[in-house]
Amino acid sequence: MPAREDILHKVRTALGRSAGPPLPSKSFHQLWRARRRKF
Amino acid sequence: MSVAFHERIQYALLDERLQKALYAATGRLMDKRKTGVAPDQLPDYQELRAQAHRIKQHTLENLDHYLELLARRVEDRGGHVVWCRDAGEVQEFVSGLARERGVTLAVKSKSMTSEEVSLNEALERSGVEPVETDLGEFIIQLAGERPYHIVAPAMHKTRQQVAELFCAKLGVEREEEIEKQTMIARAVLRKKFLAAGMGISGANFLVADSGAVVIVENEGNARLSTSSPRLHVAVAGIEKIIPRAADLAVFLQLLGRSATGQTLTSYTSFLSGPRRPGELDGPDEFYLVLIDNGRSRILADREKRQTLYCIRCGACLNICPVYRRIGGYSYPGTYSGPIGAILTPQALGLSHEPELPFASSLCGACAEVCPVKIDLPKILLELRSEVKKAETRERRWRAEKIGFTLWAWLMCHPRLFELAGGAAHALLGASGDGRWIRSLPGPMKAWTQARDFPPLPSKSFRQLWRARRRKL
Repeated sequence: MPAREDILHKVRTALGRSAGPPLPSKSFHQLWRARRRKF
Repeated sequence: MSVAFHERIQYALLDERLQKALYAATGRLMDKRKTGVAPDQLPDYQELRAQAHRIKQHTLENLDHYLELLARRVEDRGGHVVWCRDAGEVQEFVSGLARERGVTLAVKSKSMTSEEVSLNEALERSGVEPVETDLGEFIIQLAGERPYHIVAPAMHKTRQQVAELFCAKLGVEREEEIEKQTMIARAVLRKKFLAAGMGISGANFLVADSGAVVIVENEGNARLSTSSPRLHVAVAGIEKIIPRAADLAVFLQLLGRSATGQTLTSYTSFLSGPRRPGELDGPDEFYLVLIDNGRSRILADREKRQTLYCIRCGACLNICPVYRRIGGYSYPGTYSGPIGAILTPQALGLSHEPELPFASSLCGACAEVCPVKIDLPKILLELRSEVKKAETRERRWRAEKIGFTLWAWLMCHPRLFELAGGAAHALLGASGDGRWIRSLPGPMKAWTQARDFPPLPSKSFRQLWRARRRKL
């Protein structure tokens, strides 16, 4: 994780309002559909 | 207490010259502070302290917001913000930047944060000569030492020692007059300012809503370091942020007075990014290095978070009866005195410096003078408790634990307690000179190695009570 995001994440976690890890760029359904298309 | 820590303390205590110099210098600073914050000088001093505490509390509770705001504002003004997780990242970035720009000489203004991350050593390894330009820092750099005090880094040096140092390191004639010594340093430093390719500074405050770096000083060296070289790098901890420039009205009144008793320091510089078209002074490039280095860990503890409120005035050092005897070099780490005793163990981890929270008499004087009202004794007690809990988990101090368990059991059994009291009296009654017992036997000897023990009374409380009842 880049230092900027890491520090801000640590600060937010320390303050008890961490939103958790960032959302992935693709949803599970999108990945699943892409995988099915491959086969 | 670790052997090294104990040895450093013994070394300081046995140095009579150091003891006199330390006591006199801290005493002078303490007196100046007392005058500076006296009701006739600053009638609303207590309100200012409370307001400073509230501003710091608010800022740290919203630190993520203010960090992002500050970064945006700095970048809007053409500066660059570099985020560093630890000392290694700071060293790597600043050394790399110097190499990239072909810098071989860097002038530095006073910065405890740069000391904390050992920036000078990293620059030297990269072939860059770092030159400290604050007079005190210049002296201790020549001596190859680290700052003795947050505000007065060469507090422990006498003018005779400085004369010898200048003579040996600068090849000048021996000069004991302080004004003349200052002129020697000035002549050396002027050339360095003009030749330096990089200026490195710390920051007393980072103003989030304007992206300004605020530096307070008395010598003008910080202003020269940040405006003369073509490259300026400001190194600051993430806790140095304040929301608005208006908040400086509170902090600037407190900082100068608490540090040196001055109403305001001689120079207060507001630096906002690189030089803009049409401006005469200022660097071509500006980098703000924001450092975590354990601060986010301190932030996680709601009670001990106050440690990050510190504005590095050094008032707690000057008033601390422990610092005034053992001095700055007894403390491990960059920060000494009461603030060092709470900051270092939290930033580096309690297992790293477990003895530090015990280097205090808990008299509370530090909390009384702190301009941002940090409850230092409370944090020291909490840290002590954590150290003891960790030691219990590690099954250290088993003998102490057994001793206190036996003591608690004895206290619950009055007859046995009385018998034990009688036995102790038989054992110790004759020892000592009648006023103090200088040496206790067996495992209790450690107690009297550094202190005396009061003699046992000729009659116990129970004996006196029985005698009184018989009379009535």
